[in-house]
Amino acid sequence: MSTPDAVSVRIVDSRAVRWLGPLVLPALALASYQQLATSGATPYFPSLSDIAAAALQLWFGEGFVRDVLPSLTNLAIGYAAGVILGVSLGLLLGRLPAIGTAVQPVIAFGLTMPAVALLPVFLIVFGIGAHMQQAVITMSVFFVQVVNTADGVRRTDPVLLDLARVYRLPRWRRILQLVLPAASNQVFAGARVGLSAALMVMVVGEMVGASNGIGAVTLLAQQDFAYARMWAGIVLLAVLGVVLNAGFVAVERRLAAHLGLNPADTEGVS
Amino acid sequence: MNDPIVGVTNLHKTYLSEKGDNVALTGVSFDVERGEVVAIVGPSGAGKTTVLRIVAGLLDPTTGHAEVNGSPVMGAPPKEVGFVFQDYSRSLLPWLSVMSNVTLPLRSKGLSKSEAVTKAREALEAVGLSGRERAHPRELSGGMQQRVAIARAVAYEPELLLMDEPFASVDAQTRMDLEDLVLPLRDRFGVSILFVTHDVDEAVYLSDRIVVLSPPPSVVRRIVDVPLPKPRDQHYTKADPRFADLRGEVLDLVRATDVAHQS
Repeated sequence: MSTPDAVSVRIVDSRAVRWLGPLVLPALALASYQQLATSGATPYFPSLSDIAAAALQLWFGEGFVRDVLPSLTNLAIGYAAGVILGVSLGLLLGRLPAIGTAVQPVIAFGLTMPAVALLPVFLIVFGIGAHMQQAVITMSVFFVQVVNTADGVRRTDPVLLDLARVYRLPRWRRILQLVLPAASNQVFAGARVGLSAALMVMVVGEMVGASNGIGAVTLLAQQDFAYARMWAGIVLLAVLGVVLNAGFVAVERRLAAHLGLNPADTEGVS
Repeated sequence: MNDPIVGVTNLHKTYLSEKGDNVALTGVSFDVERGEVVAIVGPSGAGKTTVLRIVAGLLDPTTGHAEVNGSPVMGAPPKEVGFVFQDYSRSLLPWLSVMSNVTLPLRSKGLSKSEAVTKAREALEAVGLSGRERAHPRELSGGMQQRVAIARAVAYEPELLLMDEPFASVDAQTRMDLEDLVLPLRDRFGVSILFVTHDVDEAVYLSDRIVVLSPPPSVVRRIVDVPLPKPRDQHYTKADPRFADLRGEVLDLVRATDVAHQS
């Protein structure tokens, strides 16, 4: 039936399929796009090489400092602030159910309300600039981080809390060494959802209320009928999303391994 | 008789719930003398764990009171108490190494890091886990994890060690090993032990006295003295005719009360 050669061929085959399989559809999509673009039917879809050239010109060198760096800085500051504030309040609410119940309606409201709906208010309060961008990103991360953290903290195994009481662990040990690690799955879940929200809000914030930044450049390009630049912005944002997500997963895995938790357990919780 | 480590007086405990109140204890009283090993047994649902948790300060009685070292246990665990929880898989912190799991209470007690490590090493050695200090709980078998939990309690140097069905979730062989581990610890660290078990053999084998609870609402059915010679031995003690007599007596007490309540 199957000689050793046939087996090895099949292994190679399956490996090739595993690596190349996922690339087939994107390649097809790009090829069709390029076909559409070079047919010259519409100016809205410039060719891939035009987009690449625009991206090079926009996002490297001077453009990097003027537009990419501020975007990333605002994203980092806003996101970090949202996670830290959210985890802190989440811990408090999870540990003090009475306050949790009282604050619940406000949190639920903040969670359902799209952060970008408050952009006009943030514009009035902070004016156009980095502070406004950071504040609205923080806001988009904050609520989801609070809810997930509080949920995780509330679900701390009662045996662990008994343990903390019997052995009289001081509050800070109780929180840092017991409650927070025990809730880490939900904390990560919140941070992951928050990251997607933060990226989206970063783009919208820049489109609405900024003169520089990736979002601003992308929207201005569209308004200037500079479609190659517009597409260059969209491509960069897509790449950013993928890279940030991959980075997040890597960090999460390392931390989960460090905490002795099964990284697989932290997947898909949201 | 006059200076017990544990004094439990007329404990009543009613759990309130929407489906109706559940009376767990209706007047449970007993003492544990210093250096004594006392078991609490009874049919399932007899409030054994409730009594232990009240003594540990993890649960407040409805009326009555528990004393440790002559001081009433009020709302918080007494500092003299170490506790071994039933389920090691839930009471060990998976994100800490074996060593850190054992030193965590010691550091909280105010010991310096090196003092804590020294005591933890001593306790881990006593339970046969030398060399596994850096392992994480998930890398150990169930029996070894429960040894870590015991080492954690012992290293804390409690005057009173409370154990809630400590060997219920390990296999029979490991259970015997752990039983034989606990008795020498009493001599070595001079600790008094009060523990809950549903295993009558284990109660007779380990204890100086056995508190037999009735089915709920529970009272103390009888306190049985266990005058078997020490040190106890899995083979000789269990072959002793008195062991069989005591085992039969306690078993009858546990089961007879079942029948009495069912009819």
